[in-house]
Amino acid sequence: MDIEIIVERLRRTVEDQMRIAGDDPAMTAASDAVLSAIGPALRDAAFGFAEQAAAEISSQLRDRSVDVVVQDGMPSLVVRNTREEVRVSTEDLDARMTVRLPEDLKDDLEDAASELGDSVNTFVVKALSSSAKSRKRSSSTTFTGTIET
Amino acid sequence: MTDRKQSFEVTGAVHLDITTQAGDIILSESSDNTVTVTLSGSSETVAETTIEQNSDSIIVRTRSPKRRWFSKAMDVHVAAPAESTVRVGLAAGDVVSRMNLKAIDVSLAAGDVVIQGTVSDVRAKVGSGDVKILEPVDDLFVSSANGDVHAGSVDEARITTASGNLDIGMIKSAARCKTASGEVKIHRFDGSDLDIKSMSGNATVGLPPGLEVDARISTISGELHNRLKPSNADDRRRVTLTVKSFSGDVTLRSPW
Repeated sequence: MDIEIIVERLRRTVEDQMRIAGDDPAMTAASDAVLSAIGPALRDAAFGFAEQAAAEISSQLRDRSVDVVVQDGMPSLVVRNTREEVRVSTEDLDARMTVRLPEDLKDDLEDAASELGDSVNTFVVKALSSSAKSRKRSSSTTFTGTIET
Repeated sequence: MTDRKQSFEVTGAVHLDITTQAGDIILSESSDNTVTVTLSGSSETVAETTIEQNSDSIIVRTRSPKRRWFSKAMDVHVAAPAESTVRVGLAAGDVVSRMNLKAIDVSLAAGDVVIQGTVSDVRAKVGSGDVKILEPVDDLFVSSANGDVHAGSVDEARITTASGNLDIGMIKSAARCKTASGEVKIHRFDGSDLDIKSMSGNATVGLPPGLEVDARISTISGELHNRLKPSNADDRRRVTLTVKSFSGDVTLRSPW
């Protein structure tokens, strides 16, 4: 994000308006005050917008997050992969669940597991685990109710 | 460096209207019914500044220079009766009040606002600079792009900052606090309605025992920490708390 272009445009706009206002000392003093504050205020606003955009997009993504980083003093948005490597230990597989699924999907699962060199069971457990963790990460925290102190 | 001093006889509290460009503005209390304005700094700026009395108003105004972008620095010291009202317009410099005022309204592009005496109403619009209020205030309005806001005890507050932190000792009535990346700390909320909006800054609110808090709290990627312990209060006072954050943490705790 190049904020300097926006700052310069605003500076020119304010200066043009001041020319229209003529030589009014009050207006000139006001424009001087505005111009001296415009740069830092816009930089702050840009960081605020970038952080807001990053948080809002991150909350809608799975396995990705958007971070604000500073490059040459300007905010930039960077997408980061947050998918964690899912490891499945054969010793932990105590629970059982019967799942009914279409025949085609069963074939697809067997093919995909075979390509990765996993058993169908390991492949399914990895997929479910990754999906559940991703969902947990992306959910927002909301509380509506009464708190007694 | 040039000094210029002008004094005016008044009947009591006055309205001070000060518009300058660069330099500090210091307000202090006069011991009698006089207003004394002292200008010290650049001789060009002192010459470009008028000091006038208009009924109960004392007006200090620096004309904009013709050939320069900014006026050179000039400090303004004003001694006035207590309970006066003040309006200040300043591009760069600090505004310091060491007197008891009825109200102060500051528009400042770059510089700090420090209120050391008592004052009922404070309005401050600051581009870049801190606002510090040491004594209790009835009504506080602050709009700041880049600067922290510190206040002790406040009845009502409306505070907006882009990147500055917000630190309030006590809120007695109601408050609306909004910040982009600043941190919000309300050490003790004794009022009825508190509304905090933050994008990435954390928000921490101290809630005293004996409240029934009607809370609406949401944060998209931050965390909510409730460190409150319910008391054995028989009669709880109902209050409203709304906190909305994008990526900041929200913490509720006992007053500190």
